Amino acid sequence: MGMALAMTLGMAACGSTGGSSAASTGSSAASTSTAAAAGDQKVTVIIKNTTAPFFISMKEGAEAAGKELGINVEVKAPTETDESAGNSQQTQLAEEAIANKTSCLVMCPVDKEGIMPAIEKVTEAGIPVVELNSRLADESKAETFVGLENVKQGYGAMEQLLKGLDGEGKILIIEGSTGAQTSIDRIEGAKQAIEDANANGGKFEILASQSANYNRAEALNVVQNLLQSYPDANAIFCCNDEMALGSVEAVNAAGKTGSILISGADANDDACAAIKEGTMYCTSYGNPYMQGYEGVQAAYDVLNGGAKTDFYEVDTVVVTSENVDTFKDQK
Amino acid sequence: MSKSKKNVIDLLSRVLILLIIMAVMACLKPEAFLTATNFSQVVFQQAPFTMLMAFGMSMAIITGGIDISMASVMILSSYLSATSFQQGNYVLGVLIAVAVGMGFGLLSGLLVSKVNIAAFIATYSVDFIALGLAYVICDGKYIYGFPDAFRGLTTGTLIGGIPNIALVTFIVFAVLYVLTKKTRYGRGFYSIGFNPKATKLSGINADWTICSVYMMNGLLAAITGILFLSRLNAADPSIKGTLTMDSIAAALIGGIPFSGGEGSVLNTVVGALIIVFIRNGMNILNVPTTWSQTVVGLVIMFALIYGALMDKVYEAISRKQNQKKALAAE
Repeated sequence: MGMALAMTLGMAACGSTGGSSAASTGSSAASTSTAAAAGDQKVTVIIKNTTAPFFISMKEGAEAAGKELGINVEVKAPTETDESAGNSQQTQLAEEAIANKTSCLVMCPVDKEGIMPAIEKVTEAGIPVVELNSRLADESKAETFVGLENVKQGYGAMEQLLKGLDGEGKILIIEGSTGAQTSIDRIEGAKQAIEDANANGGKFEILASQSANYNRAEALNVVQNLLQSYPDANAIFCCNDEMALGSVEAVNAAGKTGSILISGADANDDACAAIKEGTMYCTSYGNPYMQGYEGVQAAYDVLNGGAKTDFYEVDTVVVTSENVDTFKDQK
Repeated sequence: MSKSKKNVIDLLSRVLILLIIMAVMACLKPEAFLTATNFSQVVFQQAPFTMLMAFGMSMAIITGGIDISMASVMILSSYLSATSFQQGNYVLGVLIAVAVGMGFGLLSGLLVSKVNIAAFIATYSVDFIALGLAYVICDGKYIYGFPDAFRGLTTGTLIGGIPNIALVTFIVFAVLYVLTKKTRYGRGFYSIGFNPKATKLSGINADWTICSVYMMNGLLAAITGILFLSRLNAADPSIKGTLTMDSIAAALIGGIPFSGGEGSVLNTVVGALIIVFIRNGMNILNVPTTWSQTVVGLVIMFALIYGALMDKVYEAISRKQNQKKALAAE
């Protein structure tokens, strides 16, 4: 009986969200109406997943660009969230794109090395490749890169955090999944921000740096444990909002809400709610919508005369309580 | 040496492993590790999650099976019940969570007992179904923000200083202990794990017992899911984390053999504490979290080797005692 209940609820939820399944999308509806205008131009966008709000937003941006530019856009993603399985699924999707005679491939690789064999097949078939959000291991295969500078994103978030600390502070860094390029880059930017602040008379030090795998529950435990070792910490820099929200709970449990400033990245809804409540200090909007949009724009440019630049940079926006209600309008 | 003496010595030796690990951590950073706050956080706030899941895993292992679906069922049941809790409909929320948990438990149980599929494979497929449904339903949206009364489940304290979540875990432990040691139904788990055919012949309804174990695991998964909602203040699919592996590790390190038919929830408690303290200690010592995996693996290996050695010693001693008895009878 429980199963039946679960299934009906599942079906109801599916129906109401318009059935967004992981591998293929409703953009086929868009493609039939724009097919006449676009002729044969077909762009395939392969992203990391369609379960995280970040990538759902990216997909929406890409599809919107397709509609506005009048080209057929298909957004695909692996259903596996595990890195190695995600890579083999992306490889498969890339090969399908070749078989479907796509005009251009926009790729956001889960594994920048592992995807290279597939990328080589794509370029050998004469299909241009655009990098989206994460760079490939061998960039000579790609026409251009669309995305953020994660280093800048980390710098911006840390800079804001330091401003809130008023001259001196002891900082805990919570890293993302070990080896993830986004995590490495954001921390590089963050450390740069600390160096710059210290060069201007600041007294900031990093007490510890631990990974919580971009995971909320893990971050809660890790931060709770770290606060035992470093009770004098007054700031926590997290490589994404999920971990920042886990840190919020750890700080609450320790009774230190308000005395420890927490920063994240991504600017998802929960984080914005936390910033409004004052439990989180700031985050950084990676603008996934614009990344998806610019990704398709870049593909369009490549197909119509060539990429305009080799770095379509999408700006990140630091979000604090001051602009938390308005930052999304700054497209 | 009787079997029960062997079990007591085995349990005590696992406790010794726990104490040694704690001693090592304490020597390296006493000011952070050896505090009442740290202990209370680890034992009362962090351990319960691993422990509850490990209880379920242990029950399944004792009957000669395994239950890999618990973590995904936990996520699905927490997701489906989240909105009810958020709106203050606690009764509805609990009903939904329990229904989902026990529903999937029933599915696993039927696959294992009636359709006779190996427990690993049966629960593996149920795991896929549950997690897949959870992702479809969640659609990337986390449900955030629960009422304070609900959060009191993990943050509040009913009895002097002990968080409610620890109380819930203790009650579950007590119920399971009495069930498995003092009731015919519970002792049935052991005989099924030890010798399923003989058990069926002896009149115990093995099929229904096995099915009920998996349903009980579903219930435990639902409870853990609710506790996660309360502690994290969000419904979040990433809570799966390392729970499945940790709960298996807890059972193994605690001394419950995979062959089934042996072990008690006491073993599970010790095993779970060992794992949570290892993670806690490594965070405090600022060792990269990636090493925790390796250390837990090493402890499992050590526990298994130790268990095998203990078995050999027990056999040798029993043989000697039997020889003495035979000689004395002549």
